[in-house]
Amino acid sequence: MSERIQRRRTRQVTDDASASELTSTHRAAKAVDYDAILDEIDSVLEADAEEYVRSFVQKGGQ
Amino acid sequence: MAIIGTETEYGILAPDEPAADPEVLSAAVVDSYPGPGTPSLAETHNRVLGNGARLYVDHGHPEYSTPETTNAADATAHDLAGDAIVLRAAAEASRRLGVRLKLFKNNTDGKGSSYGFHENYLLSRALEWESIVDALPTFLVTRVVFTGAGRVGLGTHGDSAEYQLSQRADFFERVSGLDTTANRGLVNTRDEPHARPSRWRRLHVIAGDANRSPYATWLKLATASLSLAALEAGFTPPGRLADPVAAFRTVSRDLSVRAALPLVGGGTASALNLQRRQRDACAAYLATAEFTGGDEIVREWSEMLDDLDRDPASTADRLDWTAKLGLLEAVRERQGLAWDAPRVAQLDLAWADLDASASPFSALERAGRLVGWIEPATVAEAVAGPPTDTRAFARGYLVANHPDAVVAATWDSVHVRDTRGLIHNLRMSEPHGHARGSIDVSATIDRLCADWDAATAGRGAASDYTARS
Repeated sequence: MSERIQRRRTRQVTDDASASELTSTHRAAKAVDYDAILDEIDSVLEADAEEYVRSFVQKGGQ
Repeated sequence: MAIIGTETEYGILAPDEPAADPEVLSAAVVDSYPGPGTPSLAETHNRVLGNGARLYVDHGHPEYSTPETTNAADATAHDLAGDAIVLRAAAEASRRLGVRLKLFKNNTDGKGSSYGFHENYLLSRALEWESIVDALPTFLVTRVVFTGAGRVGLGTHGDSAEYQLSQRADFFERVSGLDTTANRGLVNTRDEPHARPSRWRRLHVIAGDANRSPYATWLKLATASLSLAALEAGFTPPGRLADPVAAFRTVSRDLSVRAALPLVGGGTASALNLQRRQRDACAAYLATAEFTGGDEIVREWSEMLDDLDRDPASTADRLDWTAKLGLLEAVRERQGLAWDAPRVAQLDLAWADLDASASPFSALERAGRLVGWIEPATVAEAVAGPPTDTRAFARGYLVANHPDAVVAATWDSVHVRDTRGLIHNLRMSEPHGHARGSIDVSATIDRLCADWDAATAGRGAASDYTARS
């Protein structure tokens, strides 16, 4: 199993096939469209952010 | 060859019934997983799955322990398989209970509670414990520059709403200790090898964050397993933190990753400098020994440290804390929000939400903004079946293919009832053993038991065997 994963593991920017060999400098230079990211999730996030965060109370763990 | 495994305690919430008992919700998640696994008994809610993993309830959280793997890439695939499995289980539990359920891969509720992400590394018993306690705190504290999952809030209760690198840093109070739920130590002294104790020690690392980024999980496991192999061979770099507990908080709060950390014997060094020293010790070790994938680990580690040195934001395609910080800074700027705005805290929490439609981490992943480090097909394989190169193969094979015969399963044995009603204890005290090829998968359960009994008869294993449930 390990060898197969080793072969498959590549650093790819998945939305742009031609960008698969970009250096980190190039990768960072491409700005993220945060508005699009937020639009995607906003419809499913709880409308009352404050109440939602307050309700997230966990038991202690290890 | 390394043996690596991870354990994740997931945060759990029924958003429409926030007062619901987390023990009940977690038990329902464990009981509801529809994949192959041992039955969930009332009161225990502890199952061994067909992929060799363990799914159970711990301190009011669903917890998933991966099967034993031999390298960081396989361990990461099985860590991600755990996310997929608990998400599927939660969907079934939600349907049964008639309430929405949400699961979170994070380590604190920001209200004083922390729950763990644990790493397990099998070490030779020959390695002196003192050398582990000597070397490990400096490594574990300084690796936060790439293992941090990012957190809005400083202090155990998030009293001050600022950003820090780590979810866990504020919950450690001493250098070493046995406790895991309070007064936690950077180096955990638990010694339960689940293997021949005269030969093996299991190092239980509790100071790490649970990462969403597969790359961050991989780099965390890869650098630790390589560093431990180097330590076993006597390769350890100079430089020890004078006060590791204080430095843990300092590194976690230092978004510039430049803080000068006091060293034993005087002088200071940055986290990046101390990580580079560790990297150099590992490179020196690799010049003398075989470690599968070692060159790749050193290469990625070096590039990461260089990128962090140049501009931490340049690692946002690989690391949780920089990717999350980029998102939150953009939101704060556009909407004119302070760090204590509920919207910011909500996005921090949503980052950890395993529901891909609700998590900004998942949205970034879909948009191709994170490196694709582990193939989805590889994760699907890890959900469906065990690693093939450890005893997890035998465990998973028996649980998945002979469910009616398996009476009980633990890490180091499977109890099997043959067709005459006799119970056989199929011991697996060697983690590297019982891999694919060691089992005749065409054999009947009676034949398997007879072969196993014959293979282990006459060995002195029993006297050196610690049964654990």
